[in-house]
Formats: sequence, structure tokens, C-alpha cells
Amino acid sequence: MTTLAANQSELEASSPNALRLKIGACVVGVSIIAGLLASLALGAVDISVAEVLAVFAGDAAETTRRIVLDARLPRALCAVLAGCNLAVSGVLLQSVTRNPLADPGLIGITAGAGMAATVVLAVLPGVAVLLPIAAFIGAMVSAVFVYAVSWRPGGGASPVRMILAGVAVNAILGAIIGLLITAFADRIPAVMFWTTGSFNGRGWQHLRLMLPYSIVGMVMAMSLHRSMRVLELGDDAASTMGVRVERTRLIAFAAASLLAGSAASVAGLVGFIGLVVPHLVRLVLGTNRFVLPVSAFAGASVLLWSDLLARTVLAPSELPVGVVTGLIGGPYFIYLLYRSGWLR
Amino acid sequence: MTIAADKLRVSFGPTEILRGVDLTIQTGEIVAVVGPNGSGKSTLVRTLAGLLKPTSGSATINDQAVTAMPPRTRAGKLGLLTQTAEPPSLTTVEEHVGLGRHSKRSFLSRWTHTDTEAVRDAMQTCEVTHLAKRRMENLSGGERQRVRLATLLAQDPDHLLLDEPLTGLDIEHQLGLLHLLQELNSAKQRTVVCVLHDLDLALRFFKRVVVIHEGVVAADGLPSEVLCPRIFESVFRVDGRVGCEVGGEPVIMCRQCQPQSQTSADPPEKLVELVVKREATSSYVGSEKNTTKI
Repeated sequence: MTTLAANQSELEASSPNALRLKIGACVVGVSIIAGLLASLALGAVDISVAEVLAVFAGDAAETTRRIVLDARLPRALCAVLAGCNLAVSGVLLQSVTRNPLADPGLIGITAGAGMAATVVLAVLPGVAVLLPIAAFIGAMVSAVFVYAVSWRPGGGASPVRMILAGVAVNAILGAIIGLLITAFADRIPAVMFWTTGSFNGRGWQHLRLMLPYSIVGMVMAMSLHRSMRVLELGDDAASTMGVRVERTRLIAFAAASLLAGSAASVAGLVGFIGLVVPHLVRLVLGTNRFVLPVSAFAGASVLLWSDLLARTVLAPSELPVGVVTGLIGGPYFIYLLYRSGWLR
Repeated sequence: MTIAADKLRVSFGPTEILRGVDLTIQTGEIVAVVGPNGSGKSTLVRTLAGLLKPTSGSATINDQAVTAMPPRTRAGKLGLLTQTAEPPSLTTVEEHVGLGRHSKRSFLSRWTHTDTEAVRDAMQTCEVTHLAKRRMENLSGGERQRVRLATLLAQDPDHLLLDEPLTGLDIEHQLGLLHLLQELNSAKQRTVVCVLHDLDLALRFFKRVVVIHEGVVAADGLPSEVLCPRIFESVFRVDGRVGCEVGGEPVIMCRQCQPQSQTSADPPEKLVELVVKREATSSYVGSEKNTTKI
């Protein structure tokens, strides 16, 4: 986290925020580690934390080792990475469109993934192996389309046009998805389960699929960290202050698409994280600084714990993870909103 | 060091806003740009700042086209106080002013002592130090505008361009801001180019006035020469006179043009009374309000 280090001395200037940041970062860090341990220990077969640690030390029973390393660990890491991606994608889109309601869902990125996945699940169930790749490609095509539609020579892509184009694309793709599942009604459960998001059966190959795009997206996002804050002052002000506005917006949009698209390809359409985690972080930190790095970890933590709940609450059957994030995260967020009086 | 516009033309779609502006401003000048609504004065300043591409002609700093300069280099030469915008959310005054340092910092460079000092100096100059920890959204319009100016100073450009910086400020803050601009101009030899609506203030606080009318420079020179009845009538379409009744400072009286002019019949006492009333209540008989009725 070079950005964190580089901004250390900026922090000294405002100590109350610095304290909140440190506490917030600690809480998030601890919750990720605790969540990882719990994810490895809990499940159909309960494994004690000591045994989990023994697995990593290399002296555990073969079955325990395989449950932990081949099933639970990759699944937990998928949740961590997807949560991270979705939250950062939300931060980028909210900042770049200057709209607190922006998230990968509003802007049409996830609808593209959903549409492609529906085609695979409903029309071509024989090639379900290709589901993640198809979803990723769907998200990218949709994102490029939205950006192209909202782009004008000379003016770049304006935030308002981006959102309106995203909403329109959402409507079109939603209609096509509706048409497809009506035509292939027997495939509705599979489609529904995927579109509410799930980490059921996700393994190392899924993580490997997501990782390169995530790294590229994260590096792009981190490189924009400062420019995006200046961009909040408005396009004209930012431009005269040395920010390349169009380029910043394009890179942010591309990064957000890569991150959300890769997350959707593995996790399905998990709502809530991209929209709400950035706001949650802002409410807790009380500042717009460091929202990007802290959101990355907070998103990871939220999705990790949500997945743990999704697979343990009604065990042995499993809830879609999107149901958990919505049912628990939503009310908590309303409580925070009510208490803070922010976003009047 | 000069800022220059040469046969500058700028269009928005089919509408041509600037129709051949020629203007040269030397370093260290303090210039007011005035003109009726829609005359193109904001467009001119925004083009000089590199925000708009000329359709023909050029806008340059030291003979270098502003739109061709790398943004960071440009930001070191020239800063713009944009027209009042929504303040960013959850941002303290100190953070806001700190954003002004953006162009001075390379991609991974750390926040340095120089940055801290620049921010502190800028906040002191604009008298917002006591607001440092407050959030922008909780400040009054006058305070916000001073913070925005402080952010511009933290950027530390050679030339300051200001697009209607007085909008929404009461008379005390208007005068305060203009005194500050004068100070910045005289103490640090910074160029100040300011778009204004109030002709009175242009007359009193600036050494040069440029009048923009229908996309061209209608007049350019000393305020006392430029702001004359001929310009008031031909550009602003009001009857105006300059007097020196209050403490020796020049003041402008304008009234709506009437088919049969009666202004010359007014006794001077009445003029003084009106002017005093204006200073006291800050409600002013502005030229803008009247032109719209014609």
C-alpha cells in the first residue's frame, strides 16, 4: 500500500481523523483474519482452529488438509478478492460519476455479466464450464458499450451521460434476461442462484481466473487515488489544477469494469457491496480520504463474513450470498444513515 | 511572461461565443474583465485557462498554446478560480487547500514540509486558518470562497484567473476579497485577471479594465478611461455616469436607458444619497438587472 505510506504525514495534519482511520483499519484487518480462520474452521465438518493451524504447519490428517486447502481456503479467498474488487469498483464509480448512487449495477457492468451468464445457463447449459469467462466478457462488452455511448468528441464521457447510458443498458439487458428465462423456464433456479451471487464450489481455478484482472484493476485504481480526490472539486477546477480529467475518468471506468466484471464472473451478481461499503467506510472514517484502500479491505471482510453466514446458517443447505449481504447489510446501513444525518 | 489571446475564436456547437479576441496581459498586471451577460467573458477566461479549445486563433502563455501544455506544467503557471460549485463532501478546509498541491507532487512523492508550509501560508493569507478542521459543507458562502482562493494559492501559479469570484458574497466579503487580490498582485507580482459584474468595483480595484461585448474586446485600458458613458450605453445599454462624491473614490451611477434621457436633470444631492444607501445596505443598482428589462 504505497499510497497509505505516502500519505502518512498528511495524516498528522488532522489527528481526529487519523485516530478513526487507525481504529477502522485495525478493526477491518482483525475481522478479515478472524473471518478467514472461521471460514476454514466452520462448515459441514467442524475443524478446530488448532487443527487449521496444524494444516498450515504441515502436520494434519489428509482429509482435514484437503477440506481446508482445497475447498474452504480457495472459497474464502475468492470471497475476499471479490469483496475487495466490488468495493473498490464502487468507490471508483461513485467518485468518477460524482454520484453517491453509482455502483457496478447501476452503470450496466453487472447486467452485462448477468446477461452473458443467463445465455450460458439457460441456452447452452452444456458449456457451463465457460460460465465465468462468458460473464467476464459480457461485463466488459457492456462496459465498453456504455462508455462509447456516453463519449463525445472534445468533451469525453460526461458523468450524467454515463449513468443514463448505464441505466438504459440495464433496462435492455434486463429485458433480454427476462425473455430468456421465460423461454427456458426450467433453467430458472440455476439462473436465479447465479444472479443472487454465490461462492458454492468455488476453487483455486476461480481465484486464478479473477486474480490477474483484479491486480491490474487495483493498480489502476491506486494510481488514480490522488487525481480522483481533486476531481471531486469539479472537472474545470481539477483540470486547471493539473489533472487530466478525461484520462482519469477513462482509467477509473476501465478499472471499475475489470474489478466488477472479474468479481461477477466468479461470484455472480452480488449486490450491496459496491454501493454501500464505500459509504459505510465514509461514515465510519468521517472523511473522504483513504476511502479507497479502507473500502478494499472492508469489502473483503463484509463478503467473507457474508459467505460464511450464507453457508452455515441453514447448513447443510446454502443461501445465496447476495441474500445475506442485502438482509444484514441493508438494515445496518439504514441505521448508520439515520444516526449520522449525512447525505441529507 | 505574458498571457495572450490572438484572433481567438471559440464556439459551442453552431454558436460562436468569441469572435476574434486580441488581448495581451503582462505578468504582474491586475485586470478586470467585464461585459454583459453572455458577452463571452467567462468563455474567454476559461479558454485562457486551457479548458476550451479555440476553433481558430490561439490562447498562449509565453507563446506556448495553453491547450498543448501538460496539465501539471500549466497548473504551475496558471490557476483558475472557477464559478462557485457544490463543495466536495466530507472534506475539511485543510484537506481542500491541500488538494491545491496536486500539481506540485509527482506520482509517488510524499507530502513534504514545503507542502505543509504552502497550505499553512495560503490559509493564513485568506484568513481561514481558524476553520482548518471544519468541513466545507458547513461553511458560509464567504468562508467557502476564501477557502477556494486559498486552494488556488496553495497551487502557487504565476497567474491567477478568477471567474466571477464575488458571486454570492455580501459587500464586506466582496471588498475583502478584492483587497486580498490587490495584495497578492502587488506583494508577489502575481498576475490577476478577474471576471466581474460590478463596474464600480472594477473601477476602484483594478488598474486595467477589458470590456467584452458580443465576443470581441469592445474597450481595453485604464478603468477611468474605459468605463465611460459611451461604453455604458453601447455595451451595457444603460445610462451611466462616473462621479467622485464618496470620500474622493469614484462611483458609477447607472439607470435604465429611457427613450428621452432625463438623467442630466437630476441634482447631484440625490445621487450622493443613493450611493450612500447602496454602500450601507449592499443592495445596488447594478447594470445587469436593468439590461435584462430592455
